[in-house]
Amino acid sequence: MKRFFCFFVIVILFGTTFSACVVFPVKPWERDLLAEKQMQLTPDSVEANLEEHTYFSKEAASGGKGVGGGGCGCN
Amino acid sequence: MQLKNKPSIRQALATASCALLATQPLIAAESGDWVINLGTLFYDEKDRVSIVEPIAIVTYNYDDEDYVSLRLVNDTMTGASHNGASISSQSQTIPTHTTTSASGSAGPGTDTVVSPFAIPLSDFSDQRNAVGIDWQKAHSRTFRTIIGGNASVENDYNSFGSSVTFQRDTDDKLTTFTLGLALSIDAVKPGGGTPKPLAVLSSSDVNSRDDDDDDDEEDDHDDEDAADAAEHKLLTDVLVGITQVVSRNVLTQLNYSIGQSRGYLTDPYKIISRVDPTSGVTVDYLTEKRPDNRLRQAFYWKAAIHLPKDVVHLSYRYYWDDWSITAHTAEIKYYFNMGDHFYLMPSFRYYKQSGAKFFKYSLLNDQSLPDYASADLRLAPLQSTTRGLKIGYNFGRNTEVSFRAEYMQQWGEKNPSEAVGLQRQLDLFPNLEVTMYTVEISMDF
Repeated sequence: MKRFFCFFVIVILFGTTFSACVVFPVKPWERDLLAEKQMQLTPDSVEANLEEHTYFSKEAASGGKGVGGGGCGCN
Repeated sequence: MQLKNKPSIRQALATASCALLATQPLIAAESGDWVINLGTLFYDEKDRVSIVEPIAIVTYNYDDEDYVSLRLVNDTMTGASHNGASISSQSQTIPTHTTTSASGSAGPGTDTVVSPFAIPLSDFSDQRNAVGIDWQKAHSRTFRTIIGGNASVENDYNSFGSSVTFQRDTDDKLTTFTLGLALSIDAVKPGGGTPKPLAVLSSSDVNSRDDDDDDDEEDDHDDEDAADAAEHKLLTDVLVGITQVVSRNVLTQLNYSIGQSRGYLTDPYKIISRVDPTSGVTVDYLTEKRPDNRLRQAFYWKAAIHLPKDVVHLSYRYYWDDWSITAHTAEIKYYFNMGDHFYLMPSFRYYKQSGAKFFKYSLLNDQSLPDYASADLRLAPLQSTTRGLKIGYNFGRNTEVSFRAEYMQQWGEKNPSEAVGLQRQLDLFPNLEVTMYTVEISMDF
């Protein structure tokens, strides 16, 4: 049941990621909102680095956001 | 929308293409810009560890999509961390050697006396210095690479890694495909030597030579020159991802990552209690031992959504590995924009993991030793929430200052089914409470 739920969630995420672009094509001149700093997927690199390091040291799970970044003896 | 703040089409295009980048610091700036981000984290675990972590990220954008970014980090860690021993209703005397204290400069090799009902802690202090560099180069209008390198140095732990990320846009620049590869070599050199795994803790547990009475030489890590030798681990990671402009106000990303860790994955500073199966009273303490291989996988999804005035970020990660750990992480950040300069960003993060297959709160002394065992609570079934509030002020286009306060709680099974005797009356997973404050300034010139 748990595995089915996870699979279901992943299918939904895939579906929304891949299909919506077909429905709403965005022209180059319509990217003003996308250009804003807060609309970047990582708007604050310092915040992202600190979060990554903190949770890496306190939890067993890591990864998914990107590759590289450096190791640490904290976990 | 304030038209006076609207960027030019050229800048908007360049910035939007930057916004498609999946994994690196995203810099929305014109050619020739310098961006300096400075921040300091003040991290404080209640009654345990305190960390001050300043970080500086300096980025030079020398072309529309080309940049070099340098990252410098320093951690100063002090306090005490849970050493793995089980909480007891009786006073405990834990044999302590420098190697059984937590990472870094440990105290003198005297026994540690733990009061009844207290969490067994080991004092430590350490410093970590890390440097990282990323170089992004656009090879064409739709293809770019990001090459990264990093080094991290502590008293007893060094890490050196490199990464390369390939990104390909579709012609309409609405979709970006990402492939990332990373390799890291870490060296662990516990003060005083590497402890023999699953050995009864005493003054002789460290560097005790193998009597060759077992056939598991590969895992013993107890060569004659163990005191001088560092243990190593090799980490490889691969990430594939897609970033998609869904609409004029929605950007989303989906990544799959797989990584393998090989080598010395045991924590040389953690121990595990062995208790009487009837009374639950601690009999002795053993060093821990983890498998020397770990395969990690994760799906990560994120979306940035522009509401009429505000922006919301949603993310979810499903993680699993061959240590039988599965984890769910969900997070929301809401940028509540109040005018052109001021914003509030409340955030909430929820995390839940299952335990590693070899995690034990304690071992029973009437049973033979398992192949692997660890009482590190970070490998236990646990849940965590983090609530945060960030206040930011933007001085026009070039400078932003912010302050963020966060409160994290972590909890697990207080009375696990494996508890025996007096352990049933105890809280075997004391709650962890953490407060974090971050001050930050970002300058773009």
